[in-house]
Amino acid sequence: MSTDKFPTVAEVLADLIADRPPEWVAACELVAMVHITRDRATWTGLSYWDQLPARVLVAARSASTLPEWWQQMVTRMGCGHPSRTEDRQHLARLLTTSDDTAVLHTLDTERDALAVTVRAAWDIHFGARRATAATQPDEPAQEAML
Amino acid sequence: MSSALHRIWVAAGSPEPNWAGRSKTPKPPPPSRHGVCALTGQVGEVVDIRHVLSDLFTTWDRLRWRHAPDAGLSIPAAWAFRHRPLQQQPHALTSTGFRAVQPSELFDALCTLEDDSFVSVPQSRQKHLVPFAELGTVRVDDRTLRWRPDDAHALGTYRGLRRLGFGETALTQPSPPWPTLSRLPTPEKRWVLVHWADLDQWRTDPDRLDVAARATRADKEQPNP
Repeated sequence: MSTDKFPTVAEVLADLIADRPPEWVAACELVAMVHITRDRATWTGLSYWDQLPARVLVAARSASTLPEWWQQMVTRMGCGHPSRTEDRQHLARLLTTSDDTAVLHTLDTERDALAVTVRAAWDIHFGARRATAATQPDEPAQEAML
Repeated sequence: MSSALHRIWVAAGSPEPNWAGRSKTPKPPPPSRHGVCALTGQVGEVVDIRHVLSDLFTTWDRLRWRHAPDAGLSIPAAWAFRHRPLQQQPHALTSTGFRAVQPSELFDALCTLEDDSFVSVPQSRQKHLVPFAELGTVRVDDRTLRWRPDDAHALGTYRGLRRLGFGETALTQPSPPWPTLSRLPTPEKRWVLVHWADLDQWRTDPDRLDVAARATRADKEQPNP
């Protein structure tokens, strides 16, 4: 398995969100962006996955536009910039061209489903990669993404 | 409504109503006369209402013809009110007759619900269901559910999720619980995430979830096989 480049967020989520409405897809990708860019020193451990939907909810309730929501997440969870260029461009596209009201409503009402989907997508994608890495110790393990 | 109750009574084998109630001593049938059935409006052989319903009965407004001068209750109506298992166990009217069903039979009956069949699923075990039967529907405690084709689909999804280890309470939640989900192999995980939302319509209408829960439990062992 090639490990020189991380897959993009859209690639990881692709087959789990294929037949969802567009605002659901946008919301899920935004939560995934928060997940990969969060401040890993603070947001880790078992309670992280319980905290993530709560923060998503608070930010969605207090923001009126998606850029505001992202700003709130930056404040609350120390989100930085995604490391892949494609992800950075995709994030900018999501924040500027989505239907703000619909996506914020989805972030508000579907937060648990979004978080579980992101968690499962990362588990499916990188759990398998970690297992291969464990069987082939020559390859460097990519645990940083988890 | 009248024809539905009559059909169910005939499909059950035209049984005599349980006149004795809970007492062990057998009781002779009360005298019958000619009159109007207060429940179905059918004119024919009826017995006085006081022989069928006790003083504790409250929902008189559901007996539409109770004010008719010669109102009584017909034999099928008396059977439907007085046969206690009808309030306690799920029953189904299928091509093979009307009888109490085990969860697996209930599942089959719900999957093949036609315009001339009927399913009753008690929830509180305290309410009369069969007297208010309508053909082609599912009756729960206080409502008649129209069973649409996509309900049958959702029931299949429900059973799939139950077999993967999700409990009845977990299925009422908007997202799958991680401890159960993380134990599944990858293809099943993907299937669960894609299909969990299929039950969203039911989650706003818990009666259907109740019916599905009754239809996907393990069968009880038969007392005398």
